[in-house]
Amino acid sequence: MKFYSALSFALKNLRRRKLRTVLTVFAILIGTTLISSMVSLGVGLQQIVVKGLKSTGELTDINVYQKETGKALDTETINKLENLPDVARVDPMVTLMADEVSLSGFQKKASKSLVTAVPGEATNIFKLIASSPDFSLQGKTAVVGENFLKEFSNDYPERFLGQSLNLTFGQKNLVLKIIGVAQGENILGYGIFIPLSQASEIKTMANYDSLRVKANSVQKVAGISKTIKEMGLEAVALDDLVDRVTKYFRILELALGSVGIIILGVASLGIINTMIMATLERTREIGVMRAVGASRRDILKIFSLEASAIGFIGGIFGVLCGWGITLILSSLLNNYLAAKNITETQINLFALPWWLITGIVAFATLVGLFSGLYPAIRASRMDPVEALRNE
Amino acid sequence: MILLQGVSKIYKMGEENIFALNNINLNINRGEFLAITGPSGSGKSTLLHIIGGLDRVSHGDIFVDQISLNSLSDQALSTYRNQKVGFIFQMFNLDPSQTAMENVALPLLFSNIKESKDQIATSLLSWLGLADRLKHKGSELSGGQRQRVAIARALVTRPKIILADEPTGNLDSQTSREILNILSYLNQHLGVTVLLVTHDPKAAEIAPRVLRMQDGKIVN
Repeated sequence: MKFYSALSFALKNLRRRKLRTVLTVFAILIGTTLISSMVSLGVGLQQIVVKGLKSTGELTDINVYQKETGKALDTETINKLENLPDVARVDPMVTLMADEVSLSGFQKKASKSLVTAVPGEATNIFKLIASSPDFSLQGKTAVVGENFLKEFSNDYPERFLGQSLNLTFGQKNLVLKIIGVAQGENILGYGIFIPLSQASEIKTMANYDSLRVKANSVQKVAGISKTIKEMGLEAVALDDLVDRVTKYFRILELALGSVGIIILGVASLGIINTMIMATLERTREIGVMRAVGASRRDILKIFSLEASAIGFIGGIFGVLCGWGITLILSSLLNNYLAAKNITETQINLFALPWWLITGIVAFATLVGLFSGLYPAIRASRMDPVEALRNE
Repeated sequence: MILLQGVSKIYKMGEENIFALNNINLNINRGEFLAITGPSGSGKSTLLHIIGGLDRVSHGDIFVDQISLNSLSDQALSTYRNQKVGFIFQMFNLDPSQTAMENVALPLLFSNIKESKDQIATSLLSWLGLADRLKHKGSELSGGQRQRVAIARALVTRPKIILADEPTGNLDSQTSREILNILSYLNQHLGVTVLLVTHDPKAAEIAPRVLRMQDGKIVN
């Protein structure tokens, strides 16, 4: 019996017993709805976190730190790293903590602010949303994060260009001109960036606090990280972090989906019961099919396809219901946040990528198939003569 | 065409062996119309099931067109039933929730016939006088109409052998006569080999050759 004919016949049989089919499908639907809505929450959260992580830097960047008793981050180390294959550039960085920060034209002062000194050419570290026409991070200049500036005023970023930034480090002072404003999407939006030359006025720099190594491509990051670690240094690639976060979220998604999986397991008992009842009720029908030329394999195929179809239909509708629930919840959440003026941008807490949809539907279909296997085998092994005698 | 050699069918009932068929030797030629009579439990239906490949012998062998049915796998035996044999039952065995056309087309699902299933079913039902009943469900047909649908189903794959097990058992005398006339027509004009199981001597008269069975044996 051709597969298409068997499938068509199986679907017709399900349509003939609508109520029973609907009730069995409903059980699968509940399980798959739960799986799709819960796992899509995990996937959505993962996407938000990974997006946030990726915005802190490029996937080709490796942050290098000195180990407690390890190699120092000095010029010699920088030269060695620059000479490694597939390394595009190495940017040394010094981290300072300003006791007080004030802005010309504002009375307010910010305390204990992180200041990062970078080479003037390393402007790829942050994304600028506003900059002076002759932007060059050299001499008495600074780039300030958008979110940091919001502590002083909600004015548009261009307003702050040319303003004087006063940084106090104990007894020492730096007065710098703001020439750029960094995007506030992530932690860099809270930072202050000054040229390395200015840092040397605050502290003696024998060594640097960290280095940012840029690889030629994402594929080379793992190899370069390994080499840096072998040199006795600490290497943290964003790619590693993203991988680790992704792994943790996979576990979270599995945990979230496990409730739905348990319900699917219970629903599979419903399929087994439905299919056993169907084979008992259709004993004579099975006998007639065998009499007109159906083999045992044909009977097995028909009943297995009926069970699989129940799983498949339940999977499709479950995904649709799950998607509907996530739309409603997302809408409620964003309306609430907007009402409370917490954020202007829409937050997508749920994500239903194609691999998740396909995976859920395939899983539900397999649950249907395996649940229907025992009843299908039973039906295929019926003695046709006995089946025909059945009342 | 059909040759049975020393065929026995034994059922075990606890310690006891029940011989539904006991050492049957029988030769049926192509195009014969054979009636099989006998009391209940004489083995008539069992003989039909064995010839039709619905059941297997316990001893002996059965050849149809020189092919031993014993040697056939389940798949091959199913193909034999689909292509060479058409069954007609006393209780019609139609699916009441399906239309006449769907019932007739059932064997075609398991065949390799490429022609339109609907066309074949329609032409057969029309030939049997049921052109206006194509879309009627099994439960909406009279006894005679149901049996004609069953005959159409038995003929749909153009088998060489029709096995009719008490086809008139549930019908009135006039309808019975109509059904028997159809079987006779199939035999005389289309050359189909017909085996008719009946306990009614009058029905058996339509067949040129009559076999009488008792206690699993042929007695005439």
